[in-house]
Amino acid sequence: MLSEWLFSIYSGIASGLAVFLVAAGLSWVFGILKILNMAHGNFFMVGTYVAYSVVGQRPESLAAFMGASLLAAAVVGLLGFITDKVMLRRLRGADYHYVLMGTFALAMLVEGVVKLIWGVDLTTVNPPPVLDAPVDIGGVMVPRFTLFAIGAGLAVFAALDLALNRTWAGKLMQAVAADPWMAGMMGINVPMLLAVSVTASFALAGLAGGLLLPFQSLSPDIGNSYLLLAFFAVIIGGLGNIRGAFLASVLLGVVQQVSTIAVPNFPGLTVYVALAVFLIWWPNGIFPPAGLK
Amino acid sequence: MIARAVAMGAGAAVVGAAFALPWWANPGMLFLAGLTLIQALFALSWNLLFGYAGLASFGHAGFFAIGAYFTGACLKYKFGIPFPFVLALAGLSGAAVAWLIGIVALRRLAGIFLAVLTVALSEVLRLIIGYTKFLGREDGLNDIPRPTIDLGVVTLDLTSSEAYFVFLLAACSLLTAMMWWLVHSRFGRTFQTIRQDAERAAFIGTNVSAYRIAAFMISGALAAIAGGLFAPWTRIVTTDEVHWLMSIQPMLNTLLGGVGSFWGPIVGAMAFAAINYGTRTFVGLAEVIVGGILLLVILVAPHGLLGLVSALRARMVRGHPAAARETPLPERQR
Amino acid sequence: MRYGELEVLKGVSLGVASGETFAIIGPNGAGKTTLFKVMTGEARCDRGSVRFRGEDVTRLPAFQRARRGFGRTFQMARVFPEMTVMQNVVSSLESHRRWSGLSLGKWYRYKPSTEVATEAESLLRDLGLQDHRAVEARFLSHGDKKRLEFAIVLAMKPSVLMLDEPTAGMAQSDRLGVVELIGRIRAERGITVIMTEHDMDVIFGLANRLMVLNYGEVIASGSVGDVRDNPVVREVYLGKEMVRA
Repeated sequence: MLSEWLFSIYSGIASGLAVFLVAAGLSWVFGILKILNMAHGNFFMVGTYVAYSVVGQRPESLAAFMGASLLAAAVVGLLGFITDKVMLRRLRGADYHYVLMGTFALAMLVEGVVKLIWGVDLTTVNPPPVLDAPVDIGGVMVPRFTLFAIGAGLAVFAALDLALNRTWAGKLMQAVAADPWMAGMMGINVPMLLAVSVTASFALAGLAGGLLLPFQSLSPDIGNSYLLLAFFAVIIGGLGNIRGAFLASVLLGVVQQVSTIAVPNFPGLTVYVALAVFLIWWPNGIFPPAGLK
Repeated sequence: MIARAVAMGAGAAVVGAAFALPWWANPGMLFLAGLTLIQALFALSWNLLFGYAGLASFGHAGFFAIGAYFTGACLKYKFGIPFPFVLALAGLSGAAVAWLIGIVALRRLAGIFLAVLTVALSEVLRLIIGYTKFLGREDGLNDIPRPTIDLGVVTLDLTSSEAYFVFLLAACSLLTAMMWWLVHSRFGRTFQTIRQDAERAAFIGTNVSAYRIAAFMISGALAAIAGGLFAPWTRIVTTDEVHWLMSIQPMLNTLLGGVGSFWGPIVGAMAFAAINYGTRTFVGLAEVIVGGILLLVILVAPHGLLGLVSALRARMVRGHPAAARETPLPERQR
Repeated sequence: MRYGELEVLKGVSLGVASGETFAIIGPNGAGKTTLFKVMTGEARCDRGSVRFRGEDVTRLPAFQRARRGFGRTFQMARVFPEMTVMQNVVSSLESHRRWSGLSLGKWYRYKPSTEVATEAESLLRDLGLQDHRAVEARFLSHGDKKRLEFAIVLAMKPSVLMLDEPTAGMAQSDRLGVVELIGRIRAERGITVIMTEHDMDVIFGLANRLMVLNYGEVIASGSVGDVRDNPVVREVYLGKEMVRA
C-alpha cells in the first residue's frame, strides 16, 4: 500500500516535471511579453509530431532520440520566430484581450493543420532501448524513462535558472521584463530581445515535445491537456516566475497522480480543485509577479 | 439619416426573407439557417459580456452546453415540463452558474484570470458530462424529440423542421429585441462606464463587481437559452458542444461582425455561415478555417465587417482618406 | 470629520476638520500615495482605522466611500474616454441620483431627464466646458480633461475632495488656473479638500494645514506657517528652494 503511494508520488514528480517543461516556456513568455500564449500547448504538440516524423515509433538509440528532440526544438523555434514576426509584433501595444484571442485562434489553427498533416489517430511511441528497461530502486520497479524525464526537467530548470539569474544575457532579459521602455532607453535592443525570447520559448516547447514523445500517446489532443496544466502551474507559481512554475508543476503532477489512487472515480477533477483552492487563497501565486525571475 | 434608413430597410428585408425561408429553401439550407440563428444568439450573449462589460469569456460553450443538455434531457426523458418553461429554466441555470462563478471569483473576474478560469471550468463541465451516465457520457444525448407547446387555446406542433424554424426565428427575434432594449437602457450605459474606466466608475459610486456579476449572469442565461433552442433543432447533444471550438465560435462571429456594434455578432454569424457553406466541401478543415479567420480578423480588421463599413462611411461623408485607413487595434488600457 | 489611522506607514495619524484644506507632502516614496489610497479605499491598512463624520469606514470599499461623499481625482485625469463631455457628466449625475434614491425620469426613456440635463449644463458652464459638450473625452486637451474630471466629481455633490497631485505635469500658467478653480469650488460649495502635491506655491496658496511625510513617518504637521519654519522639514525636503520664504 505504501509503495503504491510512494510510486504514485514518484510518477507525480515525473509528470510534474514533464508539465514544467511546457510551463517554463509559457512562464517566460508571460514574464517578458506579459501575454499568456494560449497556443503554447499546441506548439508543444507540433514538437512531438516533428520528433515522431524523424524517429518513427521505435527510436534506435538515445542519440537519435536526442537528435530528434533538438530538431523539434529548432523547427518549433523557427515557427515561433515567424509567429512573432507576423502576428505578435503587430499585437504588441494592443488591448490584451485581442492578444489572448489571437493566440487562442492560433492554437486552433495549429491544431487543424496538425490534424491535416498527420491525421487524428492516436499513436504510441516507445522510448529508445536504452531507456526502456525498468530500474530497480529499493524494491520498486521504476521505468527508466521516468528517471530520464525527471533528469531532463531538472536540467532544463537548472539551465534556465542559471541563464536568467547569473548570466549577463539573463539580466538583460529581466530588465526588459521589468520595464521595457526603460530598458530601451538604456540602449538595450528591446525588439531583438523580445524576438529572441519568443523564439526561445517556442524552441523550449518543441524540445519538450521531442523529449516527452515516449511519455504519452501521440495525438492532436495532448496539446490541450498539457496546456491547461501548464496554465495552472504558471498561475499558481506566480506569473512570470520560473521557480514558481517549477514548484507548482511538481505539486500539480503529484496531486494528479495521487488522486488516481485517492479518488479513483473522478481522476481529472482534483487538479481543478487544487487550482480553485490556490486561486482563492493566493490569487497572486506562490511568488507574486515581479517581472521575471 | 439615410444610412440609418438603409440599414433598417436591409435588416427588415433579411428578417422577411428569413421568415419565408421554410418555403423556398431546401432542408439542408434550412438546417444551416437554424444553426446560424442559434449561433447569432450565442455570439450576442458573448458580446454582451465582452463588448459591453469588457470581460472576455473563453469558455462560453459551458453555458451553451448547460442549456443544451438540460433541455435535451427534459425533452428526451419526458419530464413533462412545457417547453417555454424548459427554456426559461435553462436560462435560469445558466444565470445561477454564472452567479456562483462570479461570487467565488469576484476579484479575479477580469483579464487573464477570467480567461483561464472559464477555460478550466468548461473543461470541468466536459469531464463531468463525460462521467455522467444519464447524459450519455461521451456519446451524448441522441434522439431528442421536438416539443409541442400547449397554449390551451391552440397547440403548436413543432415537430416539423419548418414549424420549429419559425418558432426559433420568433424566439431569437424576441430575445434580440430584449437585449437591444437592455443595452440601450441606463443599465447598459452603466456597463459602458465600467468598460471604459472601471476605477472612475467606482469613484462615481458604481458597484463595479455587482454589475460585472450581473453582466455575467445575463450573458450566461442567454447562452444557455441558445443551447436550449439548439437541442431540439439538431436533436442530438454531445460533448462537442463543450469543446474549445464551440467556445471560440462566438468570439469569431463577434469579431468578424464587429465588436463595437450591437448587430456585430449577428452579422458575423451570418457571414461565417456563408463562408462555412462556401467551404463545406473541404472536410476536416473546421479548426483551420475558424482559427485562421479569427486570426486574420484580429490582425487585419479588428473592428470587423461593421467596423470597415463605418470607416468607409467616414471616408465618404467627411472625405477623410485618413479616417478610412487601417483601423488600429484598441489600445492597451492603463 | 476626522481621519485617524495607523499603517505599515508607521504610525501616521491625521484629522481633518470640515471645510479645511489639508495637504500631504513629502519626497517621492514617502508614502503619500499609499496614505491617500488608504483614505479613498483603494488600499487596506493593517492596523488603524479611517473615520468619516464619526462613522468607521475602514472596511468600506471605494465605491461605498464615494457614495458617502468622497470625490476623487487622479494624477492623470481619468474620464470616460469614448463618451462625450456631456455624456460623462450625465453618467455621473445619473449614478449619483441612482444611489441617493432620486428619480431619474421616466424609466422607459433613454434620454436623461430634464433635471439631469439642466444640471449637467450648469456644471459644464461652471467649469467652462460648455463649448466642448459634444467632443469625445479622449480628444480633450490635458487641461480640459482635468476640468471634466472636476465636473464628474462635483456632480456627485461630495463633501470632501481628494485630489491626487492636481497640478502634476502642468505648465506654470495652467497651475494658476487649477489653483483658482479649486479655490472657487471650495468657496462656493464649502467642500473640504485633502490633497497631495509637490508644487509648494500651490500648497501655500490653498492649504490651511500640512503634513510632511518621509519614509512612511510623519516628520511635521500643523499650520502652513509652522511647517514652513520647521528646521527638520527644511532640511529633509524643502531645502534651498525655501530660502526665499
